[in-house]
Amino acid sequence: MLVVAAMIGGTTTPARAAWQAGASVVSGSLTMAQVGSRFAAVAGRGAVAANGASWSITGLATAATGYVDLVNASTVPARLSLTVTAGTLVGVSPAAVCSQPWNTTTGACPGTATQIGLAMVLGTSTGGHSTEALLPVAGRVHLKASVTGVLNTVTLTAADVVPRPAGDRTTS
Amino acid sequence: MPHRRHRASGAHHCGTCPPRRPRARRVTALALAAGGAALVSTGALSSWDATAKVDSGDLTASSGETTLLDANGGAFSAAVANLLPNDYFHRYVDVRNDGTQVHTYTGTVSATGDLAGYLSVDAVTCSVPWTTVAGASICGGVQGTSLVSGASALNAPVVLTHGSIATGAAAAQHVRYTFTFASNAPSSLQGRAGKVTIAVNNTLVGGNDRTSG
Repeated sequence: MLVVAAMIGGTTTPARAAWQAGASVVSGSLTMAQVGSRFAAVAGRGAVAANGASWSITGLATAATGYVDLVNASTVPARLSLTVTAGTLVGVSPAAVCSQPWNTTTGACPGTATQIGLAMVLGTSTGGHSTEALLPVAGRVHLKASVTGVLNTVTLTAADVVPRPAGDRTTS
Repeated sequence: MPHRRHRASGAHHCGTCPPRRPRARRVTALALAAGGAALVSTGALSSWDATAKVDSGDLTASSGETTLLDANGGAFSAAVANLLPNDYFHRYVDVRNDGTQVHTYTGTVSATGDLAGYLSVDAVTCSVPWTTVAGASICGGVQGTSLVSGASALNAPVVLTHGSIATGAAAAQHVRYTFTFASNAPSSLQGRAGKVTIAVNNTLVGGNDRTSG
């Protein structure tokens, strides 16, 4: 009798059984941005490191000039920056930025050229440059570096990349 | 032989024949007996049949259908690329009760993929459809309290209390979900992806006294 009663009791539990009803939706893919920069050789002397993070030019007995771009490798607009180091500092700064691609034949800047200032720190000349405005994706900073006939090496190194400010992404 | 002739003719003129029960009397007796039995059997339980019936009104099972509608020109299924820390986006959804009676709703918001744990959600209702004016999200009616207590990280599904929603489009609940990408998201997440899912459920529980409708 107890067994029967227990069985009956067990079957009466769903008396207040509830019906479930609902709906759901799934968003599209939400993807995080990638932020970075890399050097891309343009013309002349000098070489880009394998990881794209630096570019160097070395002068031995003769003067040499090289052209290189720092590329915004981010998936979002960003401000790029770089540092310049030189073993010795003779005369003017060995590195300059042009607002337009350099004329690699004449060495002239078709736009506005800006010398990258260097300062001697612990026996090494060091300077830096940052873009004032956000560069679009794949945008470039056009650089030229020269070394004189004196044994010298100029190295450009990619520095901080500052992406666009955070904001409302509801429609973009 | 004469007896046979008399029987065959049906006449009863034999004065020497022994007395015998007349056939008519036997038939009458049987008929009376049968009639009496019939009278007894019906008369004892006799009644007049008079029946009446009523049918109930239609008894209809409740329906709890729910629909989630994109609102304010947006689409919940729209993808968002190139999220940066502190980026946020709104998604507007109308929760419409397409069932047959008022129901109480609960909801969940969950995240999957690499961004789970670095997204937070806030959800708030408006008494009228949300609008966007000059890029700003506007509630032109009465803005409700947040369905979640502040922005909640989506490490696990977050439960929302939508409350009671009546049937029909006019009673739809206008919800604005705001998803924010965490400011402390590590750079190792660059290029990674995830998704968010919203769900709204109602539970139809019986056991109520429906005597009066």
